[in-house]
Amino acid sequence: MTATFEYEILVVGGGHAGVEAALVGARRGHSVGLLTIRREDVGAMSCNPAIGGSAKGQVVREIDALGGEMAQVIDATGIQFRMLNLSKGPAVWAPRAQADRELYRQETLRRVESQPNLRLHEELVEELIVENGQIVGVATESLAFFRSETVIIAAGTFLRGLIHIGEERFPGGRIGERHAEKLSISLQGLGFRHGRMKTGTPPRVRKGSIDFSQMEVQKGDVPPPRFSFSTVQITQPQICCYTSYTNETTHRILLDNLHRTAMYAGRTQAVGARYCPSVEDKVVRFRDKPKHQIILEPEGLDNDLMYVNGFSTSMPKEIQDRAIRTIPGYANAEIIRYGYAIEYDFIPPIQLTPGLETRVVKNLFLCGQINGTSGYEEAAGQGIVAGINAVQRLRGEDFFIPDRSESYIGVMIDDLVTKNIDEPYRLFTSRAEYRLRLRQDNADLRLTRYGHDYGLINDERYEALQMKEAEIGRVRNQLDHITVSPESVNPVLSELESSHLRSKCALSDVARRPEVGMSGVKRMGYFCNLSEDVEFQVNLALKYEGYIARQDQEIGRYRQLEQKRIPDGFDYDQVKGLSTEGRMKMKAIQPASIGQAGRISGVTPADISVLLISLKNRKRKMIRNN
Amino acid sequence: MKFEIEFDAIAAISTSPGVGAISIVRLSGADALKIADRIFKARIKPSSMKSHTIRFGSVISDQETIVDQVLLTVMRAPSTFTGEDTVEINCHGGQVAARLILKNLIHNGARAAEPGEFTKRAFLNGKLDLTQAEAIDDLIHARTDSAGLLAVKQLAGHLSKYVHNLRQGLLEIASRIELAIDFSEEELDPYNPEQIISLLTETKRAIQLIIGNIERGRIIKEGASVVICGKENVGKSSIFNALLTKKRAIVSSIPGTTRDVIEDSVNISGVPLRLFDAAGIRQNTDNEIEDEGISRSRRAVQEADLVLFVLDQSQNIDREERELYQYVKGYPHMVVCNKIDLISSGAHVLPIEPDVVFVSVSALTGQGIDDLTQAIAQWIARNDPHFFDRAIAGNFRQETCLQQALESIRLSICSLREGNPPELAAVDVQAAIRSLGEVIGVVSHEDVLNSIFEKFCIGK
Ligand SMILES: Nc1nc2c(ncn2[C@@H]2O[C@H](COP(=O)(O)OP(=O)(O)OP(=O)(O)O)[C@@H](O)[C@H]2O)c(=O)[nH]1
Ligand SMILES: [Mg+2]
Repeated sequence: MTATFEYEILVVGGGHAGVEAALVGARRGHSVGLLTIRREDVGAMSCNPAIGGSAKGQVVREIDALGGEMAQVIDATGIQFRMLNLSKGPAVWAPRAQADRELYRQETLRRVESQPNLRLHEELVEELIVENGQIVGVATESLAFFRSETVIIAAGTFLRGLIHIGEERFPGGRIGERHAEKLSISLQGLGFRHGRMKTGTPPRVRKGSIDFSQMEVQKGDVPPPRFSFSTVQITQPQICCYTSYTNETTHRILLDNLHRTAMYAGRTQAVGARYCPSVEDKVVRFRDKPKHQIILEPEGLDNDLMYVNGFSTSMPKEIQDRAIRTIPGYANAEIIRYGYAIEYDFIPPIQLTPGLETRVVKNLFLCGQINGTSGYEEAAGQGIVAGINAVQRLRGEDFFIPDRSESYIGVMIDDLVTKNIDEPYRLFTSRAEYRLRLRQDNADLRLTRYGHDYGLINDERYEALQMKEAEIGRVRNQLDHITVSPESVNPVLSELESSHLRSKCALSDVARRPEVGMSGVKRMGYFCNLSEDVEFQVNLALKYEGYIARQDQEIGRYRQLEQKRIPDGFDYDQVKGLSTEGRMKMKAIQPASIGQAGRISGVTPADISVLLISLKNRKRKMIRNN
Repeated sequence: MKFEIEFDAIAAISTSPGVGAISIVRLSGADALKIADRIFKARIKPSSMKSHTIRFGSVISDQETIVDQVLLTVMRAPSTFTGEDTVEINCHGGQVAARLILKNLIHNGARAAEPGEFTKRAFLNGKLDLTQAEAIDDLIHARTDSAGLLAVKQLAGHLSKYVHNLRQGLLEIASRIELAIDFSEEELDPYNPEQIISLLTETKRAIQLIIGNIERGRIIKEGASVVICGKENVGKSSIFNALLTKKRAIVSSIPGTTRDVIEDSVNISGVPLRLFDAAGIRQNTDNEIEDEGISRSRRAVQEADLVLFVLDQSQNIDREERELYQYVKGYPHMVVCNKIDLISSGAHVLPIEPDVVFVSVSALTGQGIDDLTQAIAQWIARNDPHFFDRAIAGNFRQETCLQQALESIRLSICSLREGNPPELAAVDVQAAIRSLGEVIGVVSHEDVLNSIFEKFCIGK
């Protein structure tokens, strides 16, 4: 070996997961090496130039509350911001932004390179070095050896990546980039099971070749909503997106050439996501639908490329050209980069503990698309947790295991380590049982405390948060204890076209009226100095009160079951009376708690009862033996 | 460290259905005492009672009316059968009072126990010998097998089929709501609360229908309760005996002969009946025992599947009797005019609705008794020739789950009507899906998403 480096934490992959993980380690004062194939690809957006959306937007806010990067980077480089779902209730509002792809990448790289304790290396990892079941480092193609106590792999879609464009296929981690073949083989050699997934990306067209007059314009919100709780203002100039539709002619061309794609010709068995189909899939599966929406998104302020969202395809190049030119506005479209499908190895994440450490190799963590997820936000959310836990391991402290009732990140990680992921996993708000609690507006209230505990949020920010929390509680409480009389509030109620009070009542009863709210209460002369933020939270607390109280009860029951821990290495074969399927699944997944065991598909309520008894007997025996 | 899981409170009638001087309703779980506090009125609250002591008092309903006078025993964990806080309520015999008390408990936070669940709890709390593998086996199969009756099991297949379909329907409704939330950016049919309300209303009706069919099943299994009531001395006990074709109740010409509710079973035209002979109801007695008998008669009327209101045609109808009828009118009933062997007083002015069945009999000569049995059988079968086919077997727990589903759907419809955003209605729809899932024993979160992906073109 020519060179040897030594780190406390080694991160393999400079994508959205790897960057968050590396920054966490370095900020906590540990020496971190970040290995990536090409320096300029750190923070690259391989698919669409956008961050956020339903559930994903909430995750970005959570990452921010924990002290991560993604929210700040998109706020600095976003060129169109919108709050989705404004027509529904605040519980499901979600921020989304178009990014300037180039600026986003540069900003990420700048943050990585200016971070003390963090060093970037251009290296292709070929082998994981394990001694006595514990990772000790990695060897690279350049024959360098990186020694490290902990290793985090965030290799994205690069493991044996194979790209399909029509009949063509060639290895690659992303178009124009090498894939990581040996790393995948090394993982398998260590005993990891792997699976194969696929995803796709649409063509990029030249801006100058498009006739925008034939498309609808989609604008961002004014003022633009922010992702980070600490961003003061969005500064990038804001741009528009453009929508148009496919038609019967487009569909005919696609249907006539199905046999020329790898998927329909049966050249791949990899599983794609049902929620992210290629345009040819959409046409096949929904034959009655006369048109499908296509959104043209700018790749950046000075970028001549545009991203054809909704037109993901792996058709041969000439078919992509023909099909796209049937869409209004695209008659002369020039495709600069063709759409493609990519299939890659992933490591089914039930091989991980809820702390994202692998069961097979100690001190080895996996995060991001290697775990079968899709999306930058999902990757980054895992990255920050893996980073925190690598540090915890170095310090010999307990892992951070976010829980389902506190964050989407918790929902995701629990799903990953509990359920059988057989298609690329994306977050949806409906995956969260306690959706009314997991809102974008209260991510700070939910998670800042953890960011502070793990040394990623400074005291100042944490104290500000605590003050805000106390203020919300105080105001909400006082509303119940202030009594108002008809004489004092009826004039304001008239102005608000709200019915008059006949007798005295609590101020909260008045505030609860939709037409009054906290703004009405302010007009009555109460809480006049309330900040916008606190006002919003109090309004929400009033509006959702009954529902949230019910969810809180459910959360109580959920937590009770989560607290019933199953000891590491528990021997399920010793338990009489388990169903065969239940036993097999629990042996494979090694649930950390009774609650988690109950979420495994195939484990029945009877299995859970039997398990409880046996845990209890075990404890009795231990007490007796002492 | 405390290991025990705190289980929710479960309740059931623990005496077998049938005749008996007392019935016992049992309540077990962490909240048992709290729940008992809400329904029991006496000088001391159950939660303040010493363990293993017994108290006399009344069970009261939410409207503060007395349901029954009972003896209540408090047994605190861990020295109880289940190993949890346990309350036993000894109430008056027969199913009527016990059922009312059980309903009341459930209304106040308890859950109807599954078959074998008390035993299962005892097991989980380490009160039974855990080392016996056989017992474990029993436990595992308790859910399905201890229902016992083979016929019931067969019929239960029907129920799960219906409920499964209903649940599928609700999943689809849920997927429409979720679609509006998670995929608002897709160009799909716009979110239409009116459409969702009408779909939910359909589901609500379907659940009501199933509950009605379970009611039929219950009648077949347990018998329909038919309560004979009327003024004193009109011949209620005589009719009771005539229907039973045996001399079960004491008959005498002294008004107020029957003082407690007497119960017996008989089978007419294939429909099993549980017949109740109630004390003659009159407003003012100076007899404490008779008063108690009268208040029990009223309760029996409340819980009856059918009330036979008996008149004596040889006597004039007085104000008291008319008031009594006003009360009975509020419940499913028919009018039986007795003593037609005697000369009619000619003064039968009762405001009887045209659709109320009216039968004339003489309990003494037996005249008209066949007509009466026919009328009862037909009425119980709802004039439905397919009564037996439609009937579904469902236990009390399943019925409760269905009622809960119904309530959740009602809430979701209200919420949408009030113009609330879809994520709130979703909470109730999800709860309804869970309740239906509990009936048939399925739980899954992925179902809604799968339904979305199947039905809608998602993804850019
Ligand atoms: N003639 C005649 N007498 C009857 C008939 N049915 C009952 N009686 C008589 O009416 C009297 C009262 O009968 P019961 O059956 O005890 O009446 P009841 O309604 O149960 O009375 P209480 O229990 O006291 O409320 C008895 O003397 C019976 O013999 C009938 O159809 N014809
Ligand atoms: Mg009598």
